[in-house]
Amino acid sequence: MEAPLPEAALSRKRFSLYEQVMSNPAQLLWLMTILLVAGMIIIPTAYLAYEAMFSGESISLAPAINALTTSRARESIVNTVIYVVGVTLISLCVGVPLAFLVERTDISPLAKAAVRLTVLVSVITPPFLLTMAYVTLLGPNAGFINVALRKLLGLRGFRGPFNVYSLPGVLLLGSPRSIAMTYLMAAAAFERLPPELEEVAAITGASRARVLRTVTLPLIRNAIFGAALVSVSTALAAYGSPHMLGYSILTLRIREAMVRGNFPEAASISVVLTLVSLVVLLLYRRSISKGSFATVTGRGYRPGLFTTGRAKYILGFAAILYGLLAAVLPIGTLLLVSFFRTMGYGFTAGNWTVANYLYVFRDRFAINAFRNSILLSMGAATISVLLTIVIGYITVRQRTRTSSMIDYISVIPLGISGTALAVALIMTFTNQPFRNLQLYGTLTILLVCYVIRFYPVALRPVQTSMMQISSDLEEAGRSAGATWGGVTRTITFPLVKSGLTAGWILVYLQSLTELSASIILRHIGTDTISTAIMDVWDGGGGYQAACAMAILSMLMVAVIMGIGVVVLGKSFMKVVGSGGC
Amino acid sequence: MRKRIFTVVLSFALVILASFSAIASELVVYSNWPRDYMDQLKAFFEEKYPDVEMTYLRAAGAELATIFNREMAQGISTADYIFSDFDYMVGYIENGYIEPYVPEGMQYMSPGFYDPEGYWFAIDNGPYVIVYNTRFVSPEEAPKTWADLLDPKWKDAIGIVDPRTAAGVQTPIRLWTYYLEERIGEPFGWNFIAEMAKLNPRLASGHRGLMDLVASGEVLIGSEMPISQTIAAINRGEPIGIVWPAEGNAAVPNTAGIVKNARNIENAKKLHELLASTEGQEFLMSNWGTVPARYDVDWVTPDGKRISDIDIISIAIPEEVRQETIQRFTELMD
Repeated sequence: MEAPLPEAALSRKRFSLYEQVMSNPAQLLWLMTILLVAGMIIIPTAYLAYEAMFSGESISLAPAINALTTSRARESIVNTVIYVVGVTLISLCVGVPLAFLVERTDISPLAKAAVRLTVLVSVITPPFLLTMAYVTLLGPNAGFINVALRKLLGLRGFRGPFNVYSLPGVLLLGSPRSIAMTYLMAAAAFERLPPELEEVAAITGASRARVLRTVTLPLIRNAIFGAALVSVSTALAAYGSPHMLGYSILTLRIREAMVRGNFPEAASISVVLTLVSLVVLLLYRRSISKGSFATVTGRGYRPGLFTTGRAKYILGFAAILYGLLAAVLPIGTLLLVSFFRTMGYGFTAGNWTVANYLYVFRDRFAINAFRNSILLSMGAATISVLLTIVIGYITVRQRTRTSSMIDYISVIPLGISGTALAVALIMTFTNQPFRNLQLYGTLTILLVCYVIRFYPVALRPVQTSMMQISSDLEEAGRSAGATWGGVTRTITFPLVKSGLTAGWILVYLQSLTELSASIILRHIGTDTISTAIMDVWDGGGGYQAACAMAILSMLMVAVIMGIGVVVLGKSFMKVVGSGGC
Repeated sequence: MRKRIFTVVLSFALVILASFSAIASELVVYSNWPRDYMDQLKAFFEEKYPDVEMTYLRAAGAELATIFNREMAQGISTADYIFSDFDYMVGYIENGYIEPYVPEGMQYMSPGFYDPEGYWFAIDNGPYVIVYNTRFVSPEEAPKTWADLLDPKWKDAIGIVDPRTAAGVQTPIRLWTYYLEERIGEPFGWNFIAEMAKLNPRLASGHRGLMDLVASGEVLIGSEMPISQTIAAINRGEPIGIVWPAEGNAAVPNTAGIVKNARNIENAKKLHELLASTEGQEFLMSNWGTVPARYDVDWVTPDGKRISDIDIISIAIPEEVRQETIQRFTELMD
């Protein structure tokens, strides 16, 4: 048995711990950050689970099971499965061939540029804005395209031939962002393919098609699998587009339950949705951490291009068509409608006005929404980048079991849909002890939400830039007598600056157009651009004014994107495509 | 140096103090009315009371009721004044969330337009009508009765508000499924909704949204629309026609009341008084298209109807019926 330590030794021991922390304040900072990140994720999730399982007297799974087994809930589950599978398949069927066309074939540079630009537009444009445009174009009765086609083809009746309020409409309008993400992941894989393998296959007499089937596609299989998982995750969290088209998926059920005041049901569905998303996220992380991209590594020169012969023109046209349908047509429609006097008189003379823009510039609600979004986005981006500096440092520089765990925990928010997170935050900040913070109904609750949702998006570029710095540089700095702060300021920060800038811009862009959480958390004076557009579109001021607001928000996004490209060059597009995964 | 710092700090403190004293007192309104209507009211009220800043939370009726009930139960509400459908107002009064207050103009209000104990008065008791897009539907083709809505020619061309998001639509649904079934019988009752579901109606989340769909021609017939929204749309220049169904028009008071223990209760009383005054009633009638509660304010629709010309059927909807309506409507429509 050990003898107890004397009092003097104990006090000395406590002092040495204090001394240790004070001698390296970074450790204290790390500890606080880890606790903060863990708290931001664990506390709201715990409140959510408690609301889902507490039946008033005891804790059990019964309330959650009851909420999920009603006929309406079952229908939403089936719809969600259809939506997720449909969107993922469309994304793979469009995104991968597009990436192949651009990266590995000889189609015209114009077509390639059109695809690249459209992908960028799709990544940063919220799906609900595209849906707004397509409702105007393909609304079954008064949709511009439908009316024109009925006249052109001499069709009778007042309906069709297209109907955006249909399953194909819902799936196609849910896909643009997923297609873009799939494209970016597949394009990166195509670009990094080692050309030797294809060349060897070609030398042995294999046709181009066979090389593609037996060498190229198997090599990018893991990238396709990763892209599919990202699409699944994105589709599970979708809200705006299905909401506008009235397609009841689980995220809509959550909001509907909140509107009806059925909080246990909202919490139950949120928990289930979160668990499923986390499994998908875990699979994705495992797929990229297994070294499955081992063959897709550094290379000395670009792989050769497949010649497409006469098909070049058809394929080029297909690529440009994608650009037209996914970007030019919807954005052009929003732009035109934003100048309509009334919806009822469409493209008629005398129905044009700039009043909708004047309305936005004069309307206090709209101005406030723009101001809120800018403030929230800047705040969320800055806090997120500060968090990711610490998390990035721990996960990149300290290769321990704890740092791996932190790496996993820190990306968990990517698996929580905005709707579920908003419900969790309402549960947290309207119950004790957090109710005392009085965050409910304020901009701060939205800021907390954005930081939790989007700081993982900034993590990837920050981690990547940190990986590129050799620790020798910092050690040399310390050997020369520089303090921790001095090394960070003069060596580390300048080298990771581009990663931090990219992370900041990514979070800013995502926050600026966030809808699914904001629409639940908004309160007096805390509307954001997205909730204001939805409110105006949904009857709070008119469809044309909503289009004007949409165009202005897109301009803001474009300006920030432009800054990103100017500051970071071409690499910025790849960073945008990484999406924090 | 110290003196300079002291001067700077003092000036800063004075500036802050002055800015605080310049902040107007507040009035927080919870409203189920469209946002552009609320902006008009805000301007009207602040012109009368420049020292009071009015802010508002706008949401569709059902959502607003959930938010208000939850906040009041947890003691975290900031609401001073609330606009609400009558049946929700009854619930709020039962829960003790409303402060009784009798405004001066109440003696001029028609019976049924106010609560004698002063808990509420009606901002609007407007009837629901059928609306149609005049660019695509002629007055001859338009439905003449509620029963005409079930004509197969309106398949894919009719719209209705979803009771899961908006409370007002409960009024016409209750008219079709209960009052007209009692009065007339077939085709009314829940079978009416089942038949309407076969026409594949477009569901809108609120009446303003439904009006936009009709105005754009995406939906040709709005199966139910408060007359206030209809008049406002016609005044905006939208191509909208009105049908006064022969079976009678449903109406439920849309009420206003002062929130119990409101932080700015005096300002809430100012708004209550203003809305009950002749000037307030005229403002509501001309800007919101509402049917005034006061009998000394004359009301005429764009097609020349006066309130005495309309067969108004007053509707009451108990809370359990509201829940049942949502459930049955959902089952039939989905």
